[in-house]
Amino acid sequence: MAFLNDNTLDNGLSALKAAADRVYINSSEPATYTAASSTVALGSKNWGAGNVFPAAIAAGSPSGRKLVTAAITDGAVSGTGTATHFSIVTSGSSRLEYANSLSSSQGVTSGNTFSLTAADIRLPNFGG
Amino acid sequence: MKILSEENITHVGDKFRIEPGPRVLKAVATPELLDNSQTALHYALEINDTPEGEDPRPGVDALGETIELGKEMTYLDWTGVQQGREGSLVFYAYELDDMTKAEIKARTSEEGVEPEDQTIWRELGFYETHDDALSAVLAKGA
Repeated sequence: MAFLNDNTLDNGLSALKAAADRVYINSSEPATYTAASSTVALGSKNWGAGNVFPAAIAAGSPSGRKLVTAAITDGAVSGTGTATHFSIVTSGSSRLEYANSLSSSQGVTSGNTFSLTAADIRLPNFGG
Repeated sequence: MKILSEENITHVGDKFRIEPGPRVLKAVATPELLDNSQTALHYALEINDTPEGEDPRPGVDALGETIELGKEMTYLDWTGVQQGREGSLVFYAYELDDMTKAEIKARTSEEGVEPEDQTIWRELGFYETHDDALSAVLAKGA
């Protein structure tokens, strides 16, 4: 899987669903919350806590359980550049929850909007 | 000068912070390196998260470059951190700095509206220990 914070591994997808509040697009893969939200941030969508993953936790494929991010159609681009990754954070705890590459890099222009399709975040069962 | 720990971030005054994270590494992509025991799942030649019926997409490294066998790749050592591998977890130091003119221009809309907040957390580097990062930040004038 892509990076998933230990908080989710320890407390489960419910904790992630309840806490995560923002999605960022980034010019490179962020290693920290600070990188995700500032240093390499090119844009963001503030959903508010509990709304990044609007649907209930569901069965994952081929195994395990998953959350699905809400599709974004009106993300705010804050910097002109090429977005290669996206990240999910809990801003109130300054915690980077999840980071992964975009399905394809996007050129973005400051002041415009960005879109992201829904993405699965899966905790696999034993064996993958 | 106040040092405040908040969850995983240490705030040093108002303009510096220290945060743990995976080490950044560069290496030539090989099947051994791309094995899930060595690097995170998303560092792969192909990623199978495309809609059903579509071909897998090429995997990219931490800089967004396509991963190819025999080509150098940049990656974050997430797997090492989760395995507790020594040296995988490092401490990033950041300074809250004013944006340069070029950075402001990159964040100005096509209508000419400049960003309201013209500061950015700039990475100063990463350090082996929290104390090393703190020493570096204090030496910078925190």
